[in-house]
Amino acid sequence: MTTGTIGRIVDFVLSPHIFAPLIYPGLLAATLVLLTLIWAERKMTAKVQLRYGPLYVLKPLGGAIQLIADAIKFMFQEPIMPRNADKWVFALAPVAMMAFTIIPFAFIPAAPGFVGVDVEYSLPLVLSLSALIPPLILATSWAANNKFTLLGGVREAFMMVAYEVSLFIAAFAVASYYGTLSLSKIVEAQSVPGIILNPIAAGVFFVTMLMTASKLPYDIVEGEQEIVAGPFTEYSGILYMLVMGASYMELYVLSLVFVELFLGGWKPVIPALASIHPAFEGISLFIKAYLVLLFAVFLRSVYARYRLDQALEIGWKKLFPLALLSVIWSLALLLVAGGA
Amino acid sequence: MIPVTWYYVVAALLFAIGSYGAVVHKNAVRILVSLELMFNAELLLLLAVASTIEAVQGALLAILVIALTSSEIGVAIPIIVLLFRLTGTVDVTRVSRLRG
Amino acid sequence: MSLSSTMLEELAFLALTGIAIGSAIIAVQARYAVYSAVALGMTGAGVAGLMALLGFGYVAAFHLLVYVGATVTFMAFSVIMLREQPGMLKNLVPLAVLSAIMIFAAITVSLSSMGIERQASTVELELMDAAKALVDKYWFPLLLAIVSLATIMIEGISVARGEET
Repeated sequence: MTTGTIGRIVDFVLSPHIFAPLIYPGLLAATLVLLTLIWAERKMTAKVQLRYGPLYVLKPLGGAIQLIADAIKFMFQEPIMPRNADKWVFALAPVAMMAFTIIPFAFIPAAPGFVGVDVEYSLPLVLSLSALIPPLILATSWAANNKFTLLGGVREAFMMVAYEVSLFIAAFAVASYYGTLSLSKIVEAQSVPGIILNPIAAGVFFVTMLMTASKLPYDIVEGEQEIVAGPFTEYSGILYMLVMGASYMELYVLSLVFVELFLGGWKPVIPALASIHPAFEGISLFIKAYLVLLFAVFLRSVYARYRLDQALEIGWKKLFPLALLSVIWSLALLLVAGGA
Repeated sequence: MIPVTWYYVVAALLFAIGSYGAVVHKNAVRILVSLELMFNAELLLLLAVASTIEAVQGALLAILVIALTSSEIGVAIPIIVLLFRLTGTVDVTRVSRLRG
Repeated sequence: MSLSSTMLEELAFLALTGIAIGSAIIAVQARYAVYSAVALGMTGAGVAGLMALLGFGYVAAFHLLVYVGATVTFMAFSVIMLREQPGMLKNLVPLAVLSAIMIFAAITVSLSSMGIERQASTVELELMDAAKALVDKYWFPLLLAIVSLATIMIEGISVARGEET
């Protein structure tokens, strides 16, 4: 009797509909990534700048659980609501932002056939769900009743104008080569990693991924030295944790898409390893995505921040023609190689 | 299966709310927002009817209509912006005279 | 499981309808125009969900991409650029409500009495079939759409540069 019920509960939890959005690559894995990635970023930046970085929390381990301490601090902090702010929008917009960054996890496949909701059009769905975030940032910047947050919100709107078109066109260039819009089919059709087939699209996608998630050198929206925290200046406590986490969560979602489009997804580097256990493919996807994430946040210590007009110029004068070129490249590959 | 009349009710409700907004507001952009609400309702209605008759043509029509409506907004918003540059207001009750 | 698939579908329908209509009501009576534009985006998302529930998944993804992703941000952005001039025609509110109710009644009654029934199976859209039909049979509307979008791009660039006409 007991084994029956426990067996049913285990089956229920392990079924892709629950496992993918909630555990991996969903909520639990995303929280794990969030907790370790920010610490890794701070440590790497510190090493480049010849200092130690966060060191106090668990000194023998190098301060590894610093983020857990930060999370506990934020949860106990009092969220201050400015007096003339719009209370409902101010409080609910970060929640909506976080929700819209978490919903795509239901559509990203983690292993062949292991996807939360199996639809044929998961690629445009994931990308368009991440395009729903900037209007919410605009709303929250208006709700805070602060001229400077409004400036930050307008900057975010400008940035979105810069990156969105190139992101979609680069993704669709890859999708048009494989002839399908579904992420799982694109991964299964990759005999050669996409980054070798279409390096232009990979480069454009990577740069626009950085722009979407507002990572240096494109963190114009929340640049600390200029505009305090941009549209999120008035946030404290758990709302602050939500908006800062939403930016990293967006980076995680897009890097998962990047790995699936360009790096072969869940296919392990040594093909024989796939036959050991099906779960190994999920682990290899996670490792690849984590390496891409580490590289993306490492760029923080290398590049200076772009100005807004420089970022717009890059977005439209350099990335947009490159994205169109990647479409032409895909079509040329289709003509020459006959498609995958 | 959800009966298709439920979709009709939802589309009609959205259309009605949009029409209320289009009558009542003075700001030109908010009128445009209400018109877009009506457009969404009409799109839903189109697809609801297409699901009973001929799905592929309805879907293609919907895709073309979405693209064309985006270009229509792309015309309407610069018109409002130019209106603002010329007259300093977007209040539709104050620009009701064609002059110059 | 106690949730049958029909109940799940109805639950999804109710949730999406709530989002769409709630955001629509917020859009028409919000105090600031920015909230109006963002609520329009939420309505677009709800309508996209309803479209997907009908079975038109590709159209829903396209709607999200083009409409919510681009158009709504465009509108929200331009609302911030123009100076806020709130104001409603207060004397027209009862008339507007009355006309809204009448429009709702007219559409619902006329459509329900047409006797169009739901098909037994869900809609299955094949992307390749639709694409072939688009290019073979409907190339003229496609051409018109492409021409109009290119015109919009040129016009947007010229307005952004500040040229007068």
